[in-house]
Amino acid sequence: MNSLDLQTLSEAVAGGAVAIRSRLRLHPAGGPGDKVMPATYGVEDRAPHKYADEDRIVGGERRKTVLLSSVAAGANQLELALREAWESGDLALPILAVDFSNADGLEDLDRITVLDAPHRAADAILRDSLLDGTLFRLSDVGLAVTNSRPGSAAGLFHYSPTSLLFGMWDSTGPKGGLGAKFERAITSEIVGLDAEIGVRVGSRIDPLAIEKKSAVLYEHVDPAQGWTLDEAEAAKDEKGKPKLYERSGGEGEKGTPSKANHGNIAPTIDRRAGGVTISEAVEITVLSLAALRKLRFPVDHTGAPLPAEARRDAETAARTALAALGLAAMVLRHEFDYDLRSRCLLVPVEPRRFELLRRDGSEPEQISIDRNGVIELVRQASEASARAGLPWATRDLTLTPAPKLVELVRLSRDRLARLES
Amino acid sequence: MLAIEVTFLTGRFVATNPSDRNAAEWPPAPARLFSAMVAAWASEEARDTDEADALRWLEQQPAPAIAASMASERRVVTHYVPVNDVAVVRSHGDKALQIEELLRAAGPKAAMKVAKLREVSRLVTPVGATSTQSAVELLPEQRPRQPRTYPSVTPIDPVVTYIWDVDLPEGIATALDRLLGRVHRVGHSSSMVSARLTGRPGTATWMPAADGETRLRWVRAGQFDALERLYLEHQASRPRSLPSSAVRYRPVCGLDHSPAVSADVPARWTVLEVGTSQRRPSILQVAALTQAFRNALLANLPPDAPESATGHAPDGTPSRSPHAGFLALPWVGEHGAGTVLGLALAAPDRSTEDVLLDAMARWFAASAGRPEVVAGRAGRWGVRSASQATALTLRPERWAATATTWVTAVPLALPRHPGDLRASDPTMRARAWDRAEAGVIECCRHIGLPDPVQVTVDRQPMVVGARPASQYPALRQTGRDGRPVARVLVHAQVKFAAPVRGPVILGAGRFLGLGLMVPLYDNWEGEHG
Repeated sequence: MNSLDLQTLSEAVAGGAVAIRSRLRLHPAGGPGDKVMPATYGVEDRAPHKYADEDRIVGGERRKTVLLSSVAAGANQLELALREAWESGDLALPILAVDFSNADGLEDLDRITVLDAPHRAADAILRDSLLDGTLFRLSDVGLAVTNSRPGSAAGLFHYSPTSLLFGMWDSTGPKGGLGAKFERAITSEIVGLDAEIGVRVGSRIDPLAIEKKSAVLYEHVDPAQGWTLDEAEAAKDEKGKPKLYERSGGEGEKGTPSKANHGNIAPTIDRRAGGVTISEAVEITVLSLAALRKLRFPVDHTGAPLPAEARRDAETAARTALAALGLAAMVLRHEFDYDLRSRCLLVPVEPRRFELLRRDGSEPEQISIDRNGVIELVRQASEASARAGLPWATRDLTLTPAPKLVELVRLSRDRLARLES
Repeated sequence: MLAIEVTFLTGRFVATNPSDRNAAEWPPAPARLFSAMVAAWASEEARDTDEADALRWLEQQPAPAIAASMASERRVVTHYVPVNDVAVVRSHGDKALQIEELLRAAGPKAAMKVAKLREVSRLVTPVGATSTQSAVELLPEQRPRQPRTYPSVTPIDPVVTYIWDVDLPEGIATALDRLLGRVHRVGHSSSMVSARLTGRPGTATWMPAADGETRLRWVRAGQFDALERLYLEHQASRPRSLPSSAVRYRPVCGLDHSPAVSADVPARWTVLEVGTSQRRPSILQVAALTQAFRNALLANLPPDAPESATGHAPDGTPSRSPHAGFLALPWVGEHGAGTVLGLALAAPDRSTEDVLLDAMARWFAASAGRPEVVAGRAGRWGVRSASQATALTLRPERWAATATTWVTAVPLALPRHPGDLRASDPTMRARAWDRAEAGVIECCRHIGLPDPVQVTVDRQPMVVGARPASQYPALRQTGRDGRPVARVLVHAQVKFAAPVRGPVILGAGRFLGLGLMVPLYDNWEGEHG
């Protein structure tokens, strides 16, 4: 397996490859078969649970899968990984941030960066904050952001490259509905396999075929978790034996799967979000180099046209810097526990591997890169891009929240405090 | 031959079905590929004329065949997406535009004006009438959210190929492949793809077909120019409705799937059209119609007609061997009106069919060319041969298709009384429904089908056009002990582990058209035989 260097990445970005993909296997922190809490969503009233599940056919067999982390959540996690590296000083890149640390009473908000704001550089919170003495969108930086578009992306590249990587739609900016729209270049999802959801789906014939004998449900020692298949986690009766799961009013014998399906909803337990057990989880992340190749740079961030003969290389260099950032997000994310939400901690069971995908249908090339390697790659790539005429901003990009905003949030907090006292 | 191969790099295809916001689409409509190619053409600064020509050539081609595996559907749930239209500061886009113009103008005067425009203390300091809620909502954690769905599917094979059986002119191939190299997604932005021309398309699993139930969008001549024109308006930002034409597709039986099981029901059908386009019988009148139909034929049978034609043993009791059935064919499914369009004579074998067709000929002759079924209170309805009929409902292949999921178009009569399905006691009610489900499974076994892996029973219809079971007149038959018994009617949906070839008719009333099932094509089951 080759280690990825700037030259290889640059060639891939220039046209050699369609995408870089990473497939990672994870286990629940408690081991395969442990219970995890997937993401819950809005479902109709008669839905048996609140998860996004799917019956897949793998190798001729049906395997139930459940969504643990959506594309949107995946983006947030990648952004968080970049933010940590930026804050610690490992990665140097332009990050617009609204700083609340000088706002009396709101210091706890600390800094809200483009990596935290839902709509990135186009987010409302930046729009209502101040930079260089004026409203963000009236400043030179803000104007550059507003005027960026895929056909001329230098402004956004200079001031907020992560917005190009994760996608941005400036639908509420000065151009209203015609504001810039950048599609994401990276997408990441985590799916749990062989999910056994505690509630039966659909009809009386259980498509999971949980036979009466094979799945004994015990009452979980933690009422918020409802049921468990694991005796060790079960609540015990006076004799020290595990208690069978029982809901009053439900059909079926105690401890049988049907017991979990009927009956009244206990006040402390969400019947439809009691968790699932999975054998393992798979994270699939794709960084689309083809999407990056849609970004063009006819002028630099000051508006000066790039000299024709240099333009092609400059564009490749800028796109390569973005690709490096994407890879950094993927590698750095690995450093964190995959702590997706309460009671959903996943642990990678292997080192992260990358595949370089080409269009010609050839076998993907396996490449590897570690933390230090990717940080160095980002540094080299951004320097190369700067030399080619498309640098990242190095100036301070800290915004202050509008006094009005600070005042109003403080008022709201005071009010709440008074209500509670 | 032109074959375009699209590989879904994340293993998923995310896109909303144009006719149902909460449903996914599979296979991916070819129009999406065309749009992606046009977008790829437009994203180049110097728009290539060869590529434009290639697109104009492609739009003239008929809809392609598609080689796509089955796909499983992720349950469509509602995601809540943070909004971006909260604000505490008044909108200032006009100021921004003015500043831009002035900066372009340059000079000291312009600079002064810019500085003035940038003086915003009056906009950003006084609280005024702005609510605290707006302020709190700006914070990411507190941002209000809007519901959105992202229907998505996982195909078994992430490669989908679009196949045109046409001659590829010179130059077109190169230009198309160049375009395809720039296509990075099909569907939602997270549906990332790699696309290219291929010389090895594989076997098509979906074909355009006039009787197809799946509608996928393709394009017409002029699409390219239309898209270009529309883009000037919407700029990829405004909501838009793109021109397209819906093409019916039918799944093709693949070679690599196990042969479908057939139900043991009479499968030699002769179809008559009933009523006129202005006036059709209601689906609730199925039993009355089929009985009248049967009576009309029986009245014209010779005295020595076999049991398989009469349905009765010599001693007058109902026949226990395979015999003819009399069906009413209702218009159900997409846009189904729930009216009966036809009647079908279903014979178990050739000789029975011959006997009954002779009877039919005599009946027609005796009616001076205007045969009618006289269905008592359900009225009199003219019938005529439907061999030239184009309506899908009147085509036997619609009912004899192959599918894993079947649903009742006409409710089925349970062979045994399940108990009170409307009991006020929930335990008794649950037991009755359990028995009803068991009864449906028994009905499947009775006609030689494997047990379904999933059964849903309801009194409500489960396909458009069908009517609630409670609205049907009672079906009275002679029970085993010779006494009259009223059968309980229910609707059912059954899903089998492997595809089943129709027709599928379940239950005690199946020789009179009750329990007639229609295949349900989930696109992602991709009924490939």
